Amino acid sequence: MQGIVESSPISNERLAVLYGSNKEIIARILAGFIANVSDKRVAELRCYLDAGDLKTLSFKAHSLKGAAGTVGAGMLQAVANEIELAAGENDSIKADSLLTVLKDELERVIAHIKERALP
Amino acid sequence: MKPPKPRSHTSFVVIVDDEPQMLSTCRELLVSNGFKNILTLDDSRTVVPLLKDKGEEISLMLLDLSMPHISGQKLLEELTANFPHIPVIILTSIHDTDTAVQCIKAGAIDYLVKPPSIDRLITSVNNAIDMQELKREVRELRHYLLDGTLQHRDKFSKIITKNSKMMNLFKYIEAVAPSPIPLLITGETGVGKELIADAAHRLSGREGNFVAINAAGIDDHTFSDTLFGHVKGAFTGADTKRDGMIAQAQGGTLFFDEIGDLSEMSQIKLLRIIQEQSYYQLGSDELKKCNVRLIFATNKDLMRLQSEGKFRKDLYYRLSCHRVHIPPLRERTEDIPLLFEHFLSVAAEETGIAKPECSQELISFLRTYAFTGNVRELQGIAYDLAMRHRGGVLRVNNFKEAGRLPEDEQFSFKPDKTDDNIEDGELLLRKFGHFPTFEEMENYLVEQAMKRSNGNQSMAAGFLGVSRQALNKRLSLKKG
Repeated sequence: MQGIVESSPISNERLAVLYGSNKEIIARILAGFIANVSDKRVAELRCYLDAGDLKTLSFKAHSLKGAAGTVGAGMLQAVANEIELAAGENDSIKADSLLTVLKDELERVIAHIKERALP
Repeated sequence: MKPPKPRSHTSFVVIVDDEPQMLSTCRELLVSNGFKNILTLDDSRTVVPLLKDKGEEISLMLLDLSMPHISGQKLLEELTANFPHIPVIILTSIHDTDTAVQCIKAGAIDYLVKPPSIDRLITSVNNAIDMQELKREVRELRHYLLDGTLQHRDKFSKIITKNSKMMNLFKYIEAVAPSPIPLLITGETGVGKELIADAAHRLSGREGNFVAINAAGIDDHTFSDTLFGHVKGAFTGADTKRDGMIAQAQGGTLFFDEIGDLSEMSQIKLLRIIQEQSYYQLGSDELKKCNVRLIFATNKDLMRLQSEGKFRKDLYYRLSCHRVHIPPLRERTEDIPLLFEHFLSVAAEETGIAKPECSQELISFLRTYAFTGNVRELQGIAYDLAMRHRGGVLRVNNFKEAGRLPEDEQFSFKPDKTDDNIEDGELLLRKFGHFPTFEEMENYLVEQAMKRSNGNQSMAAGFLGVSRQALNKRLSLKKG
């Protein structure tokens, strides 16, 4: 994971590649992220891990990975991908440690959007 | 980055993904490009019930692969087996691309790696809808060809014809009328292009108005103002706001006649409307959506104009996805008696005069007349003769007395200009399969003269430049 740490949790360059220069669309998509992805997501993932339901954990991590991609949150996307793979390999210990990283990164993304990206 | 090419959409798009953020992002991108009818589903178990309930209405499905409960692959199998008319675009993460390729083999039309860029998504969706539209058109046409009947004859009630080419044309119009893609109508002046456009509008199910605009002889400023309208103070003299014809036709059909006469600048503006489905009023920065079906008409050869650099190639291909050519009146001579009788009746009714009767001689003659002005010219002739004679029986002499023919010209044919490029003699080879003998040519000429005169020997003799007796003798010898 070390090579992909970014100074900003959201890449404006990536957003420009995805959505062009249309700031209104970008703002609405970022606002959608706040509405659709709260920090409860991580708690939900942990519940599946605690219940030993690694299959659902894998699905849910896959979903979060997609959501992170919509806002150019590369680090969040990468961590979610790692959890998806760990859960797919029944590696609950690795998934457990990654969930802590995921929680921190998601908080960083949400804070960044609220502070800088939304009007 | 080139901007995507949005268009007006009545299409019903369903997006299936278990991630709400992916659903809302795709919805956002589609809405910003003019899509209105979008349904998002975050539970794959709800897809099959939806298909059973509204499968026929769905224009397109965007489908995630990796979902709990029922996977995208399983749903794709269901769709291709039971709802093959619905194009499916797969939404996939990078790790699923091998699976996505398998899905293409299984019937998906495209796959998009998540998250899709606005360009890629809109291009893919537009292509899928175009393809679905073409498939629907083929299906409808096949149905009509096999069935052979018009479903909505009443919608063509303003057009009087019993010509088989016209009936086939009506069937095509019925098939493409619901399409959001532009329709191009070609044909000589006076053949009834606006009537066909009006029928296409009435068949389209669109609730807005049918608004016609004639592009002939209008400069670019007038074109823009007429079409887009303006806000108050947009230019000197703009004392009040004007909505423009696009606004008048919102939800309906905008018919552009004489499209071949548009200036280069106006062509660019028209292309933008077709591609972007949006416009600015003069003097306004507010982007307005354009939800109109566009129908174009011309009596000019757009391909030729294109090769001469007078008509944009990209515009031509944009506006000619669906196209019909209305045959000239001289190629549907069986309609001439019907139309002439109809116009005589209308003229008599409108003016309160007695309706003249039409002699068989005149009908036979009219069937041989060139009618360069087509139905409109026939209408003018009928009105003129009705007013001149106020009853009685109309004959060929009345037609000539009305100055419709020069005194020294008894019959008039216009050469078929489509044969301009055929070398001398080639036409004969095509007709006979070999170079004809004198006898074969004579027989052919007599046959054609009798056909064009509707069996009237005097008239046929006039065509052939022989006496009626000489023709009669020849016909008798042939029978014997």
